[in-house]
Amino acid sequence: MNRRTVLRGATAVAAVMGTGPAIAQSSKWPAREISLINPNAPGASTDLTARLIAQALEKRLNATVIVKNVVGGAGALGPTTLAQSTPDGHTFGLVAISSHIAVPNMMNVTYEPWKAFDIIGQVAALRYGIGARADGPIKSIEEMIAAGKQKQLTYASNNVTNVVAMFQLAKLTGAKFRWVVFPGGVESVTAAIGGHVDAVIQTVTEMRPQIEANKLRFLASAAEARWPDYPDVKTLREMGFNAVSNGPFGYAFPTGVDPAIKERMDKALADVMADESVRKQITALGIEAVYRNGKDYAALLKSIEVELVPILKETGMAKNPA
Amino acid sequence: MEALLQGFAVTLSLDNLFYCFVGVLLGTVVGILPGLGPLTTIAILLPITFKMDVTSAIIMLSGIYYGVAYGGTVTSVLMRIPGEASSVVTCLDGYEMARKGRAGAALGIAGIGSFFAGTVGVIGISFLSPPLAELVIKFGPAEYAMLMLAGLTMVTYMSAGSLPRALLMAAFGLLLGTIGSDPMNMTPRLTFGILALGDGVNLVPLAIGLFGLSEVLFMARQTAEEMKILPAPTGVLGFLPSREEARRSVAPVLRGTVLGFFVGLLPGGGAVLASFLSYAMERKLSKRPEEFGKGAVEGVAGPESANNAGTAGAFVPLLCMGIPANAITALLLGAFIIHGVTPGPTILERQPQVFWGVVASMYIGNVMLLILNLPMIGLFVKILQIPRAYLTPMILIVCLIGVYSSSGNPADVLIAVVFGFVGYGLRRHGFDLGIVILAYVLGPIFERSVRQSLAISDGDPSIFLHSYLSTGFAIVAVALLIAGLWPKRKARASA
Repeated sequence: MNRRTVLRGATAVAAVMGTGPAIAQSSKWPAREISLINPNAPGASTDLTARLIAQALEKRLNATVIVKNVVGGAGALGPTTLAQSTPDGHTFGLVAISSHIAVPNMMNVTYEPWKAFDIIGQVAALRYGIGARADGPIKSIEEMIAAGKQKQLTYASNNVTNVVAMFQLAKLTGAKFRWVVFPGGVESVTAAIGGHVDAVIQTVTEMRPQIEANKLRFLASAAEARWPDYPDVKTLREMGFNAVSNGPFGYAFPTGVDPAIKERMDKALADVMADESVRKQITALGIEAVYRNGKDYAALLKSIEVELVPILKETGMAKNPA
Repeated sequence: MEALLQGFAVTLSLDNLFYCFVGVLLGTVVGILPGLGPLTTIAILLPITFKMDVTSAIIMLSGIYYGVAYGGTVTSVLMRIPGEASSVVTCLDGYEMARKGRAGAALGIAGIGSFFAGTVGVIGISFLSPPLAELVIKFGPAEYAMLMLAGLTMVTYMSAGSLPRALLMAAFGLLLGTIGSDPMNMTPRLTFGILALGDGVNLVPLAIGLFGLSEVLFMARQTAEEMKILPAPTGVLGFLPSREEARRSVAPVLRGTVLGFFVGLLPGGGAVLASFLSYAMERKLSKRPEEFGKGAVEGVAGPESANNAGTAGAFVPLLCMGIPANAITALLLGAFIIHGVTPGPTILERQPQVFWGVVASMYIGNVMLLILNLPMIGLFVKILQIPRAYLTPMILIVCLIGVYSSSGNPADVLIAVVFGFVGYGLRRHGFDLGIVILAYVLGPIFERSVRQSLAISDGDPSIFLHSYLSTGFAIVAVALLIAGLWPKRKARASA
């Protein structure tokens, strides 16, 4: 190897990793700061969670952990960057339904979702709910279904991950619900309280302020469990409809990280997630602090794929329609 | 009123005054630096505020947000690089004023206009918040579609040149706006398989390319004599506009303030849209439309007031409804929630000290910003005394760093360079770049809201006239279009 290739290699690595040449040795890890790649913009609930987790990991790994928002490519840029980064344990990033199911099925990406990542674990789950305008005609899920059998109803949501429960509900009951896509979660909720759409399916974070203000009626939890802050509102499953929207997210290394490093990271994350104060801070964001290890989290994502891919095809979102 | 006074009591504690100052100072600095925006800054500082008192934290973070609209003007006027997206339109006439030796006056007008608009905006928040917030939820997709249509007809006012040329540029802007993800089924569109284009062309690389980099190319081609910029007076009072300039600025500042505040209320509106619409309006109303693009003081005074008023306006739905109007207020909403404050109709009952504390801090923050900014103008305009041979490469570097730091994405730098050449070519042939940006900003919102409306109505176009609001905007759009085409024909006939 001549000097020039060495130099070029070093600069390439430095360009990807931030600063300085990389030394990938498990004995000396972390050798410098660790980057956490988040495909969402600053301020998103995944971003706020990432910043909490990063702070908690710092103490346990004895290294600086920096959140890097690699936003763009309609969500594809983050996972692509993560998949292409050097697997020396100094870069990890968010993996979720977007990275493993939605993005690869909707656009051409250079990474193979089930091969490119070595999953560390799940840290949280977004909790979804269905709501309708408080002073509107729909007062319960049953009424919504009945109305949807009479004529097509519209509902607002910003992401294909959110709407799984509504598609399942329509299939189970024969009611007609039409998804109107909004650019953000809060816009969706606003459209519902303004009476521009009949209902909304979004996360707690986005719905709670309007529920509290009595502008939005909280009809059902679309998550696996009831929302702890509204224990009286049942889940769709409890009402007898087998419909649920999952919103898990967690972190992964790019494939090829030294198993010894991976193990230390696994332990650190498990320890962070066992920390009651961290869980409390995550819960305060309106999301659920849920820990699953890498293997279990991968299995969960696999099971969601089965549900989501047909919806992507039905809505014309998939790159290869059925 | 009493509550507001209590708010001042909260703000006037030494701690809160300090955090307010830190906030507005950071905001000014961030505003001056192209690329580095309030979004990134607030996100980085957010964890630091976890340990702070709620009110102090919100006061500081808000200070960054409204401080930015002050600082953004500086590079727009001095180097034709928009320091902030909301100051893009200031490049058009602010920079031309600088070339005539009126850089200090341009910055002075912008600073005073900003202070006036910012303060009036806060007064609006103090007294009109609850009723205005109710108005916001009346805006559904159909209302947006018609409002954007009215905005798009403004392109006929944006250009001094021929109408076909203006429409050509509008079409180019609209086309740029369609690149990215389809707004309804989110599949990539016109990206040519390039991942970096998946979210479309971002505003920062587009604006810095079209305005900043194209200017660098112009400078490179011109002889030293051609590109001379008259030095601005740099004395302590060098920022004072002449009596004539001040007189011409009064009406644009007032109009920009009112327009900006209302546009700022709307989700998706905010400071960027406010500044563009104000510019178009001033151009239409001016007795000297031919001066626009050549250093008309109205083209600085109006938009620079509008963007500050828009910034203030965005606080109304945020505080009273928990509805953020743009990405930055969305982040502020996140900050509120982390600190255990739920913005919304209940905030006045449950946490009045936070609400009034923040509002009071905005009055004080605006005064601080004025005191902070005006004396600096003399210093800033000294930049223009740097020999061009050194200033040009400096501008180039500031542009490229600005683009990179806006997203951390090297592809954006490339996009900016491409648009630098495109902008150079278009300007050489006398095309109006402001129109490109206006169409680029409005087009995607228009498309999305039209398609949302039709999805809701199941394809029935009568939805666009289903409410008084949407019908009203549709009438305004038609009226603007007719008025925009009419006098031009008359002028041509008389010429």
